[in-house]
Amino acid sequence: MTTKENNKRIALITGANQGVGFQVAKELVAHGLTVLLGSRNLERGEAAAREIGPDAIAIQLDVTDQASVTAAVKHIQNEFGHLDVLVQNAGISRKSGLDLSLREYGQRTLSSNVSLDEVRAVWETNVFGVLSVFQAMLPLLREAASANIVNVSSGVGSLTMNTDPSFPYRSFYSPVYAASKTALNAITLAMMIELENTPIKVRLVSPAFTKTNLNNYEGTESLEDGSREVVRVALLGPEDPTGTFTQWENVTIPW
Amino acid sequence: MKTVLITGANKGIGFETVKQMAQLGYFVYLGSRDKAKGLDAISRLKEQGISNIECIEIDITNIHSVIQAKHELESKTESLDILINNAGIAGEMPQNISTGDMENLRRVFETNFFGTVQTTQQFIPLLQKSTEPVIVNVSSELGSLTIHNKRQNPNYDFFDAYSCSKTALNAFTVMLSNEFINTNFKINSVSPGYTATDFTQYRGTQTVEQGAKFIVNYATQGTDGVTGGFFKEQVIPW
Repeated sequence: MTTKENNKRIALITGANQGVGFQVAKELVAHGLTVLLGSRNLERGEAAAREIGPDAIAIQLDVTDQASVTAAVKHIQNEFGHLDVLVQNAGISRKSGLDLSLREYGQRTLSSNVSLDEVRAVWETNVFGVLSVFQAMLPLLREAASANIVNVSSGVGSLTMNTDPSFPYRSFYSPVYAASKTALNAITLAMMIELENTPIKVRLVSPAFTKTNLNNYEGTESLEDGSREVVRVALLGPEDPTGTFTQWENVTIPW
Repeated sequence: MKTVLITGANKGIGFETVKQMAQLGYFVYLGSRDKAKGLDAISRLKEQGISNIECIEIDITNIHSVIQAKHELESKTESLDILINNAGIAGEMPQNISTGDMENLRRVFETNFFGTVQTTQQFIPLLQKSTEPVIVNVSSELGSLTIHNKRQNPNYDFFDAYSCSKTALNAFTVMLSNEFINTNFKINSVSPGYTATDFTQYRGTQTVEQGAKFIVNYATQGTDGVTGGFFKEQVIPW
């Protein structure tokens, strides 16, 4: 079965065993896609896939591990021969201080005092990991009639918002998470521009401040509400606007 | 005499910035990764009659070198008034995002972003001893996502690694300035523009004097100056 004969669209979602990634996987399956749930831990991925149903398939994928990324590409190549949708959702907000509240962690990781090890650890997943998965999956995306890349960013990466005095908590945003999302926006824009004359469209989204492990469940939105924009954009087609950075519902976030 | 440290200052825009700042009456520490090149730059400036300058060896990508430089500066001056984070690399070409070498991209980020962050962190205590501390992060219009998105810069699709590293640097400028928003610190990103130096293989359309002037303007603004912005002659959009 090759790409063009297979009428089921194939999506890969990174970091899909929990949180927003899991919710998006569930909804894309409901929309008729076959969804590969990328998970660092295959067992957790398999448990998540079982919960969703037969069109959800776990795949081991650690975006910071080149061997894992390469193996995932090979696996998708052999099983499906192409990829229609890539949702780069895997992301971390911290490596240390996992027991701290957002505020406490923020105070320990200010621009002036944050350890570079902490910054690098988060950037490995949020920035370099996204780039590495993008480069590796691109040949599979080129095999699809049209493809859609959705990079999950965050409004906290918006420099326009970060320089707005009314933006809440902006003094706690640091080079760890917020700047990683700004950098992600930059590499995503480069992807959008480089691929603009191809059938591969690249878009950026911000989920809402969702109650997930990422923020110690201090988020305020439900998984369903928080993931809505990611799902909406993941289902866009080649004729829909590209090069966008949006939050629910299709509200543009300034750079 | 107010003091200034400029990294990556043995040549190009950094070197010219040393000259202009010294001519304005600041005492300038000329930061250079390579001590011999730094000393050579100092002697070239002394030949032009500029004496309020001194070389500091600093490799911003090496934390030990940065700490060593901080100790050296602490032994020479009570406070640092201005830090100009000018050291940066363009990276190897090609560096387009879909096929560019990841290691090359990482190296560019190591200098332009991580190196600048760790250098700034080390010098903040000395800057806090100044009554009007200023930090200028030398950025680039290529780091402006707005300009990129409008394809306004003719180089927008060549320098992906470099451009992204400068966007990241701008994020550091914003976040650092937010942290110090209720202090006297003035922290900005400044683009010198597309300047004819060896960095651009002399393809730049501006003279090095013009490029350095933009940096000097934001380095020498007083307490009523701006902070948390991105500038050349005027505001550059994020």
